[in-house]
Amino acid sequence: MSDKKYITIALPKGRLQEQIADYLKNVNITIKEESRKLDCYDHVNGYRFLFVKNSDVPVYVNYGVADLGVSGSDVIYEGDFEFLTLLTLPFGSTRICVAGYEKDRDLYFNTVNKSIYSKDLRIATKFTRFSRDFFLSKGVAATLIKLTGSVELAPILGLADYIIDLVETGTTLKENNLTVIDEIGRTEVRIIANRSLYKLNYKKIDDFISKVKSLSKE
Amino acid sequence: MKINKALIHTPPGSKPLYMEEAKLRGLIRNKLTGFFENWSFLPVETPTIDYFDAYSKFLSDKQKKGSMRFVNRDGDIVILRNDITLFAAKSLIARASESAGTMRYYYADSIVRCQDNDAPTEYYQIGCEIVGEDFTLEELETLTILFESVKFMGLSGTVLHIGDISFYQKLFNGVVAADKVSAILDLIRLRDLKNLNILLKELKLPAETVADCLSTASFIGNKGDFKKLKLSDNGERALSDFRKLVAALETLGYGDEIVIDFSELPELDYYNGIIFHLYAEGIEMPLVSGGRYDLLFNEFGLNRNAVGFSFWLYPLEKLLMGKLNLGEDKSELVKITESDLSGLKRGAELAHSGKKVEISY
Repeated sequence: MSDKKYITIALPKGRLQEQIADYLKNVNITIKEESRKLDCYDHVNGYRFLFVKNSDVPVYVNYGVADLGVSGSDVIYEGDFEFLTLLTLPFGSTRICVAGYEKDRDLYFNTVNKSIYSKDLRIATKFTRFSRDFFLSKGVAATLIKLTGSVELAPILGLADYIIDLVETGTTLKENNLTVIDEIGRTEVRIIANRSLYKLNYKKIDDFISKVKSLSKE
Repeated sequence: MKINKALIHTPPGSKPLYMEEAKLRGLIRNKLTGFFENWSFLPVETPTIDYFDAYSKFLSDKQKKGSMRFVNRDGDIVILRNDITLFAAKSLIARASESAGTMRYYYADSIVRCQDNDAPTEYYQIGCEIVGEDFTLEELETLTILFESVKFMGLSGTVLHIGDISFYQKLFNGVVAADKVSAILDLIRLRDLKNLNILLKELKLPAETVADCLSTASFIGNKGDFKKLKLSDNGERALSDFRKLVAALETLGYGDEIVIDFSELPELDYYNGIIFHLYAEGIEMPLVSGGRYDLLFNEFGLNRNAVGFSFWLYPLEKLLMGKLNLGEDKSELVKITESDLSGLKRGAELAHSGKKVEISY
């Protein structure tokens, strides 16, 4: 059993980080981000928090830099690493949707649900692994175009017929004259662990998980 | 024509070992395999390439995807060795079917597999296996050799997490369909208790079975905690062999080196008894994997018991770098010149007598 002093937890920078910090305050866990610093310590509880790019959380956990990570299931899936899934947080759940112009709705459903082939669907997305598996499961030929930001531009500029993206309120879609065509999944925020590091520090990690779990009814 | 500079490097996942690294690997290999030979194990060499179809039913989708396959000139799909236990089992089928005795063998070789989203990578494994009939104390013997190997290699800060897949197999026998058992075990392996709860509810299992499954799936602790774990009568019956094994490990003095952990489960379907991984401080992957796998031989058409383990060399080398004596003994410097080559003869004398020599000119 390890006697290491701090459990290292990778957090995604941005809005989710703020939500997590607010949430953990309720069990007296402090995440205090100082300007430009890449990490912070909660010396009282023995936690070190790393602030990393959302899509990098699984990488830091996989390679053992962090014992734990907080990440969206979409990001974990795209990362294609295997982790222990210790807890699902009761916030941050979002829809994964196919969106496009209203005029293209029939083409999509004819192809996906009725197997009426007119042409290969062209889809722009950040979530290529998820999208590939979705269309493979439907037996549909789709050309996937990987984008890393502003996916909504793809139909407007003629790069793709549809996009697959996370949709919360749909406002951004609306502003770009796009609409949700199909909801094909939901993401959730999970606490993941590196298997070996968990096994070496399971008491401290389980203690952290118990504290977080006490906040929800899960 | 000069070679393109980019081609001087090896592709991602493939890595040559130079000088000290290669020497360290050789030392580890000699030390560990010598130790296995002291326990009367004999070496096996498995083929590097074999027919993919012979193994495909044993591999998970992920492992199939992560294997290196190609078509040979006869049009057969062949696979590069991606698991020595599998390749060794198949190689030994003919031998095992002729002999009723117990076989103890070891190996030290490389495998190629794509573990996660990285490129296919070459790994090196050193392990030992026992194959025979009507096992009695073979699991205990295997674990003893493992604990003593760890000691023999001078490793510290390690802990063995051990579970027993046969507990779940007995618990769900006749109650849950095989594909659902796999789904349950996957969730337990990932310690995904939320989805495990959901799945168990969906399957509408007897309350007692659900309670036993959840108690063990969430359990992780030392031998003292394990004694406090209470299951239903049915659950206790399914757990009785494992409790005996843990008690025996305690008697042998290994009790403080183990953590009982029922999420230690394999990704493959041919295991049917103890499953274990050795973890080491500061290493992000297991140092040793092992378990009981009779079902593999059964699938090959032989009624045999099998148990074994293997060290993964990448983490082992990481731990032992700088700790093993690489044999940097003093060498005798022998000078030679174009007009006086007698030093080469002197060097030969030294080398033949087992001494180190360094030629200088």
